[in-house]
Amino acid sequence: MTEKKFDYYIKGEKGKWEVIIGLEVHAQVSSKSKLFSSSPTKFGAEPNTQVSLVDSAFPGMLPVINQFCIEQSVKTGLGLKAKINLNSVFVVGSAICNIYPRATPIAIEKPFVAFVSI
Amino acid sequence: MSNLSNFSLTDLVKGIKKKDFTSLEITKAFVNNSENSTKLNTYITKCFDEAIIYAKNFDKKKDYKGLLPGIPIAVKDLFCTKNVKTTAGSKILHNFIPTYESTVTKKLWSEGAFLLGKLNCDEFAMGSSNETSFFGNVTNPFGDKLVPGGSSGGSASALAADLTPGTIGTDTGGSIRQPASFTGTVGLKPTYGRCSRWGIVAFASSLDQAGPMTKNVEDSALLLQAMAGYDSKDSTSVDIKVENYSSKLTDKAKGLKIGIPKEYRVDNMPSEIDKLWKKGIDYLKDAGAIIKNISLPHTKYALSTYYIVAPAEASSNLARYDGVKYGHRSKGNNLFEMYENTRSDGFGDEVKRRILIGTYVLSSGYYDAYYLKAQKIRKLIKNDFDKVFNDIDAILTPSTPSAAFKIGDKKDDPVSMYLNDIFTVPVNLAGLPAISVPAGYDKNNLPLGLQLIGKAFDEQTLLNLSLAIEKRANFKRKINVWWK
Repeated sequence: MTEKKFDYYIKGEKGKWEVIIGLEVHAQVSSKSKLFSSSPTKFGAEPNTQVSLVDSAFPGMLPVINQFCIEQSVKTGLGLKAKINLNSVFVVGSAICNIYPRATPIAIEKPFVAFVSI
Repeated sequence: MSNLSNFSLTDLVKGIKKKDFTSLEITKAFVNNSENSTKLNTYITKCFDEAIIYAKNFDKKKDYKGLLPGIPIAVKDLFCTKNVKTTAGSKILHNFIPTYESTVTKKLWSEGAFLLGKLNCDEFAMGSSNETSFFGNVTNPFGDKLVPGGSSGGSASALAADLTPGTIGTDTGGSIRQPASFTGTVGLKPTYGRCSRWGIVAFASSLDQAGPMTKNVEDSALLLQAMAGYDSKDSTSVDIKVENYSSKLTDKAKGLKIGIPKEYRVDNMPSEIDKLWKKGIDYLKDAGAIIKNISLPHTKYALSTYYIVAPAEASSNLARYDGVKYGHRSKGNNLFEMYENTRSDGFGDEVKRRILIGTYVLSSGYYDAYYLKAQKIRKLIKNDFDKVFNDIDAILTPSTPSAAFKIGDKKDDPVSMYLNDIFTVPVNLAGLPAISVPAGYDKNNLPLGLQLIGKAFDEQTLLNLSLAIEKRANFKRKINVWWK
């Protein structure tokens, strides 16, 4: 990847500050089922129809990553001319969330797409 | 007819196929034994009436195609069973009835077996003596004051006492192998990823693995074949061919290289265990194996590493038990109080201890010092094994540093309890397969086991070497039935 030169500076008390602005954009993949379970994701559906044993953290349930979502994120990465990681690592987190105490948020240590530069 | 409950699983399958006896006759024999076993406290849930009905139907249908036709099997109460209470030995799940069947039990039923009951275990499989169960401790058939080991203590005890022809347990740090060693039975922990974890109440997800517990090695091969295999619902299960372990079973070990790790010769190990280990070496030499001295230098860190990694994962896995959607719920004045009361009341002391350790090692400020460091040492332990397996086919060690101990002896001393798993824990950290095979007795006539550790997914070699030991050790379970 080529390094891009930035040339926007502001003057500080002791010297120049280079301005680099990053955007964190959250976007939802329009998939038919959830990221880690096969439950449907139909907007406006009846309560309790879009939930599975995995989502409700029943004993012995295991998350399985949605293949379509991986494909979409890789496509997005390619579109943005990003580097695609061929290996990705998931780790089970243990954040405490009072409303939803199933403490299995799944963090990704090595994402599918990395180092985007536009 | 001789008592069918003494038969091995393999002989029961052969006999039923030859129509020497019926499924109902087999089932009645085990139900009868089980009904007279209250003192052992092996069962949490009994499915005897349903089993009898199933057996009658089986005898009408006569479908002998599966690996386990018409065989009743009781399983550890960590496997979720559809419409049958599944407690994990905990108060917090004392009333939980799953609407689904674990993949492993489902596989057994699809081979023609059916459920006899759910067996006692340490709470959430946390324990080495089956004394942490909410449903009371299990007794070892070898003596009314002895623990059966843990956490699959109910399974080991039920098997040794002829209450079930074979059973399945789970092994996170030795929970199949240690109780097998304490009860003179065969316990196999397969390679991580060999059997599906879907539908098994989780303890430590990167270490848990289900495996067969049987009266002999031949049965172990049969039961492993029935339960192993890839499952798309468990992303850590591995899509590698499951061998026909039974047909490939041989006691010939010609040319196989067996490693003897010097680090497993621990201080204060009873001399009879050292003697047993030497005997094991002789048995394998006699079978044609070549013995090599090896070193696994990071072994001494395995136990402390395990007691960081396992509680960390447990604290995360057990966060789901909040009293909202299923299981035990305590009252509270508001939502948070209800959560707190449910968990304070629903979990036992050992589970609470591990949740506290786990939460501590994962907390910010300690994460790098404990959890991250433990992960690095885990890798070093794995590397130790990878290195020696370039040159050898299997490793021989004792299964445990002692024979079964007395109920209550170590209950108030968690560290001394944890030390019981010193030989079994490294295997889980490395994700390798290992088996405990009974090989002799100590001076008090209590069984002792030898452990064989194998290469990843090479359960066949382990079974073969175990058969070589079994044939030569000529071990007989000397149990005097005191509990009826």
